[in-house]
Parts: sequence; structure tokens; C-alpha cells
Amino acid sequence: MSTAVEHHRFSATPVTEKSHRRQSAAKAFLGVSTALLLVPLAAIIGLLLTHGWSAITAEFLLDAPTAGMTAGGIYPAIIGTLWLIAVSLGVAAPIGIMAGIYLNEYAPDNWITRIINLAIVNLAGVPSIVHALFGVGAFVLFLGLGTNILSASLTLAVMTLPVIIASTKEALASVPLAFRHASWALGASRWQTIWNIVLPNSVSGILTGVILQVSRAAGETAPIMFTGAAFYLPFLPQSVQDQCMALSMHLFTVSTQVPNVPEAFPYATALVLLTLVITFNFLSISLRTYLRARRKW
Amino acid sequence: MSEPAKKKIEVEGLSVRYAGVQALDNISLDVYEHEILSIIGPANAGKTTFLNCINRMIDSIPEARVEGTINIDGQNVRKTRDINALRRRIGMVFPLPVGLPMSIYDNVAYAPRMAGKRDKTQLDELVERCLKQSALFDEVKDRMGELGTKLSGGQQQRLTIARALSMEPEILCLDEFSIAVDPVTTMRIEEVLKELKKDITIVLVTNLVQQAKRLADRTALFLDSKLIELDTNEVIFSRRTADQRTFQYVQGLFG
Amino acid sequence: MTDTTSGTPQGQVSIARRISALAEPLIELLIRICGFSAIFFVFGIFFFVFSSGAEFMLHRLEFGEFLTSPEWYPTSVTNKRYGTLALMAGTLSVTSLAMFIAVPFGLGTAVFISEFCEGPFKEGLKITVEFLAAIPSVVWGFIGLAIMNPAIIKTFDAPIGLNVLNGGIILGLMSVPIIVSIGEDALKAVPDTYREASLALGATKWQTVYKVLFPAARSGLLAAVLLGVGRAIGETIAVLMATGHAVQIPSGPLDSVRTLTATIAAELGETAQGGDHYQALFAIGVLLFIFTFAVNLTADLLVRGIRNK
Repeated sequence: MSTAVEHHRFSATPVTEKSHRRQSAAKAFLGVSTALLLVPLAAIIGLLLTHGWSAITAEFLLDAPTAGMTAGGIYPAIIGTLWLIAVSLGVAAPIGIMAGIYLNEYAPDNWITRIINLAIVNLAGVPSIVHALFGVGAFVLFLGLGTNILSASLTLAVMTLPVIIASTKEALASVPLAFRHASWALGASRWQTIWNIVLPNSVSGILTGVILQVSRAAGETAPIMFTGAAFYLPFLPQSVQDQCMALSMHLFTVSTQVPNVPEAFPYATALVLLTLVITFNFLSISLRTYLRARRKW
Repeated sequence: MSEPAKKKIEVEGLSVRYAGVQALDNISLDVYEHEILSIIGPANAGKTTFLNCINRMIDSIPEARVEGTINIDGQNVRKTRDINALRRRIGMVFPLPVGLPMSIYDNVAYAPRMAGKRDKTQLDELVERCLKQSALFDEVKDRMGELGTKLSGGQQQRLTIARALSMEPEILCLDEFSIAVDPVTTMRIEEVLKELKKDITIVLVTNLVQQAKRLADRTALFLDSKLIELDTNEVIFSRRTADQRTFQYVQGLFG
Repeated sequence: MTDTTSGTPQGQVSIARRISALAEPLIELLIRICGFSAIFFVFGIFFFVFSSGAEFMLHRLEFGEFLTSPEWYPTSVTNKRYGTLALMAGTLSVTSLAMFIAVPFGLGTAVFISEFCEGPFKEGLKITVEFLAAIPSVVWGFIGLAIMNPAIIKTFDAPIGLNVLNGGIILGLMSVPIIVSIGEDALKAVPDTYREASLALGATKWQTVYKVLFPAARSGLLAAVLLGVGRAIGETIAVLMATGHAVQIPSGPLDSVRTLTATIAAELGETAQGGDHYQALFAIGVLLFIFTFAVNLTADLLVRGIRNK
């Protein structure tokens, strides 16, 4: 009886078996580490839900805070956040999209363009508190706008601008160059080509980027703290020259500066904010998936 | 020919340089009305650059340095202000078929619309005529609303020709149109070109020497950015070529 | 007869076309101005932050003390000191701990998603990471305050749960998504031909990853880490809420600290506009701007390196 292992040329050797074991181990390790990452996400949502769900009532969502923030609801904060999102994206989106169009469709390949791109990258990396300082120095004081929705929104707009520019550029670049060449050869001008061929075929990509920034603007606290968001206001804002409350600011103050708040309140506020943010993200992702399926080429 | 042929395009001393390379070197040639002039030569000889100069597509390469004159009907196109108007007089077909991401109808109606035409009946009639002229109508007449990008390569190339014809150009430039297209479609397009010759002037860049022989009245050989020889097909495809290299290239001895 | 000005052989050009032809240069000018806007804003930020604190910075601030002294007492009546060393130590300690967590998890996840995942599962993971990235910093800060705080007190029997550990963990989790996303880009940029060649030689996927892909994607992965660092240094609200209020150089992870960013946020509201304290905070802002500028510039040069390959 032969005890020798029959070595077929393609059968596993001890060396390859070891590397396969190593790979399985590595794969398992990486998989676990990825999973471990998701645990906090699940935990956060879970904890917020368990501690905060009880406070989510119609009154909570539709009433103003009362009794020094220890009762009532967060309605004005929701409205304030919506004001801020609307005004800041109303400013940032057109400028950002046009800047993206310039960079992808018009900008020559020279040092000035390189500097612009550098500026965008660095603008994207500025800490939120430095944005706040800029907002105070430039909008509140220098331009004399004062602390109100306008100043806060402009600060948020400068913050969200670089990412809108970058995602617009990407969306435009995904339209093949051949389409532009074909259009120019037919006598269409550069702008006609952009308006009739490039933009319609990159709208979803552009929107995806803008919506993502809406989500970000809704959640930021530092840039609005000193430029227009208030801790408590008795009235809802009537114009951009009024101050406003905001969900992010509200969560911050209620959890750090107000005593005797019912335990569930800040959890519930966080839950509402998170829901708002995740909803926008979800919209953006759905749009992206829809866009991929409906590709026209 | 009973009357002397009129010159449609006059090129004088055309030189183009970019990326440190001389793409065209002192090209002078004339293209007559209602002829098919073919340009043959190996890759990177400058043939595509030459076409790009005619309709000013070379402008989209900012580093390109262009010298010399190109006159169309006596008018210097290098000095023309309204490039878009110029491009509407010259149809261009690229090597790779391109269907614009819109319906077939919109593809052909695109250029007229950009130029300001809005009348629906006029557009309908124009679209049908151009599709018929490019031998595509029968295949797509029942699906004009479908996306142009979903057509086959051969169909897209014919669609490109239909688009090019939609502005009723005086000149049609084709840059190696048959590279990405099946032989049957190539044949059909060649028939189309022979028909079109009656109305317009055609400049045909091709890497297929036999195609030049079939279609063209006169043929030019470009080598290394220079014009080597330009003459009637009778001469170019015989032993009586002025330059030995022409004979060698036509015979397939190099390139 | 061809009308050479309009190009159409028959009839006139529509009025609408003539109007849009006039509007085009205006539109293109507007586009051009917006294109240059980013430069205006970056310079603007530096300019306004600097000028708001310039008077103090240029005339009264001692830079040596500013950068090397751990004594930050801007409100002292008798002896005002503006040393940021303790604050920088705060930023450094929290950021280091955060990176200690975020880099292995981030790169590990990037590799897992990029090389060992396919199809809808991969998409699902990527979306989950995006959701993680979407969580606002104030919510993270709240988590640090309400959940990590008591957890740390209980687990380590610590007197206070708002400290370097708390802030570091929170910040680490916040920084993971950017490392994953840029790291994934870096790995995706390595041509498939490398992977194919390696596998064809008999290597396993994992061996391909650490012998071929990591070296090839080296600069991109480094950029991912740097961007994560930049994010961590610049984070404000979450660390404000989670690291405590002590301005001190920490001796261990259970010590409370205060970062540069948190200091500005915490104290700006209480300063007199234009006063020394106020301007000193803007000076810290300038410092932060320079730090993050440098980090992001380096990261961008590295990323540009991979895009140009």
C-alpha cells in the first residue's frame, strides 16, 4: 500500500496551502474589522432610538420649546434648519455649478487653472470653526450684515462650495468628449453644446452632489453658532435678516447648556437631525443609482 | 470636363506645429468643386490635422500653432470670425461613429435647431431627406424616437453623415470613416458619396488605398507632415507617378 | 446663395437665435467669474481671519510664547498669557488616538471593499460607509457626551468620562469614512493588469494586496491618511463636547484636554469683539488654517500623483 501522496502537477503544495490559509485569515480579519466599523453605526441608531423614541410626538415636532427648553418641542429649530439649507444652497449651488462648468468646459490647462484647483482642495479642508471665524469677520462685521440667516447661510455656502464644484466637474467629465466634438463640428457653439448636450446628460450627477451638501449644511453647528443661529427665539424667522434656531445648534445647547432637560429630549433631537440628514443622503444615493440605470450611452 | 473646374478650397503654405512636433509642413493644394479628393498616407502623416484646419476644429487644441492660408470660395477661413457659421458649411465625419444621446430625429435636427430653425414641417422634411441621402432612412423610419446611441456602429456612422448633411454643407470631410464600420455599410456609404458628389465637394481621408482608388477623382499622398504628390487617380495608381514613394505606398511596400 | 453671416442656406436666422447669440458671451463671463471664485474665497478666508486678529498679532502677541507655552490664561486679570502649547497637545493627543483607530480600520475596510467584495454586497457596504460619513459632528459629540462618557467612567473607574479617550474614539470613527473612500479610490486606480499579472503567477488575492497593490497605491493611501488627519485636526463640535474643558497637556488618555478648535468655539462667544482675547482666538484660527492647508496640500499632491499615472 503506498503511503506517498500522489503529486499531481496542479495539486496544492504545503506552500500554497499556507498562503491560502493566510488569505482566509486575512479576509476574515478584514471582514470582521469592517463589521466592527458598522457596529458603531448600528449602535448609535439603536441607542438614539431606544432613548429618544418616546419623546417623538406630534407636539415635539410641531411645538416651540417652553419652560426654558425643558418642555415643548423643536419646531422652530426644524424651520430654522430648513431656512438655512434653502438660502445656503440657493447661493452655493448656482455658483458651484457654474464654477464646475468653467473648470471642465472652458478652463485652459495652465497654471491659473492649477491654482484654482488647488484653492478648491484647500477650501474643502478648512476647519469648520475657521469658516465660522471667516463668517464673523467677513459677513457679520466687514459687510455689516449682522448675525442672521443671511450671514449664517453665506458662511455655510462658502463651506459647501468646493464639494459642489468638484462633483459638478465629475458629472460633466462623465459625458464623453466625442459628443462635444460632434456638436462643435456641426456648428454649435461651446455654450450651445454645454446647454443642449452636456448639462442635460449630467444633471443627475450634479444634483447628487448638491443634495449631499444639503445634508452637510443641515448638520453643521460651528459655522452658524456665531453668525446667525440663536439658542432660543420666541418667534419664527420672517426673512433672511432674522436670526433662527437650528437643529444642530439646538442639540448642542440642549445637551451642554441647559439643565433639567428630560433625558429623552436631546436623543429625540439627535434622532430628528439624523433622520433629516440620512434622508437627504438616501435621496442622493437613489438619484445616483437611477442615473446609472438610465445612462443614455 | 468641358468647362474649367472651379476651385472650392485653396490651401497655401499650411503648417501646423504642436507638442513640439511638426504636424503639417507647408502644404499647398487645391480642391475643385464637385470632386472627391482623397488623402492617403500612413498614420501620423498629418491627414487628420489637415481636415481639422479646414473647419477650424484645430482651434480646440490651444497649443497648436497654425500658419498659412485656407480659402474657401476665396474667403480666408483662418480669419473668419463666425466659426460656427463656417462649420455649418462643412460637414465632418470622424473615424469613430458617434450617435448623440438623443432621439434619431433629434440627432439629425440638432444642427438646424442650433442654427435657429424651428418650423416643424421644415425640420421633418429635412430629417427625412438627410436620412434618405445617407441610406439610413429605411432602417430607422419606424423608430425615429429611439436613442441615436443605441444604433449599431454602421448605423451611427450613417447617422453622422445624415447630421453632417443637415446643414446642406458645400463641403463634406470624412476622416477614415470606415475604420469602425462593417464592409457592407462601408459599401453603402461609398455609394452615398458617389451620389453626393454631384452636389458637394468631398475631401476623403482614408487609410484604405483601394477605397481612394474606387471613389476619388484625385488623390494626394501625405508623408511625415508633407504633401508628396497630388494628381488624378489615373496617374497616382499607375507607374507614372512623379514621386517614387507614391508608387511604393500605393503598392503597399511601406506604411 | 449661402448667407455667410448666418450660415443657413435658406431663410433668416430666428430672432430667438440672435438673442441667445448675444446672451452667450454674458453667460460665459458669469461662468468664468464663478470659476475663479474659489481663489477669492480661500484668500478671503485667510485675509479676514488674519486681519481680524492682526492688530493684536502684530503688536502685542509674543510668538515664542504663543507657540511654546502651555499657559493659556486669556481671561486672567493680572497676568494674561496666550500660550497654545497645551491646546496643541490637546489637538495632537486626540488626533493621534483617532488615527490609531481610524487608519487600520479605514485602510482595512478600504481593502476589504475594494478587493474582496463584489456586486450588491459591495454597494451596500459603500453606502453604509457613506451613511457613517453623513452623521453630523454634533450628533457624534452628543454620543460622546451621553453614551461614551458614562461608559468610560464605568469601564475604567475614571473620575470623568470626557477626555482624550472619548474624543479620540469619536474622532476616529468620524475619520474612518474619508480614509475608506480615498483609500478605495487609490486602490481602484491601480490598473487591473497588475492584479491579473500577480494572480496569473500563482499569488493569492491577499498576497497580491500586500505585495503588489499596497506598494503601487502607496501615495494614494498615504493621501487618504493625511486627509483623515486633516479632518481630525479641524473637527470642532464633536471634540468640544467630548474631550472636557481642561487646558492642560495630558499625561494619559483619561485626562481631559481642550483642542485648538474647541477653544475657539468655546471662548469666542464670551470675548469682547476686537479685544485681545478675541483677536488671540483669531490667531489660533490662522494657526489652524496653516496646519490644515499644509496637510491638505500634501495630500493633494499625492493624489494628483496617482491621477496622472
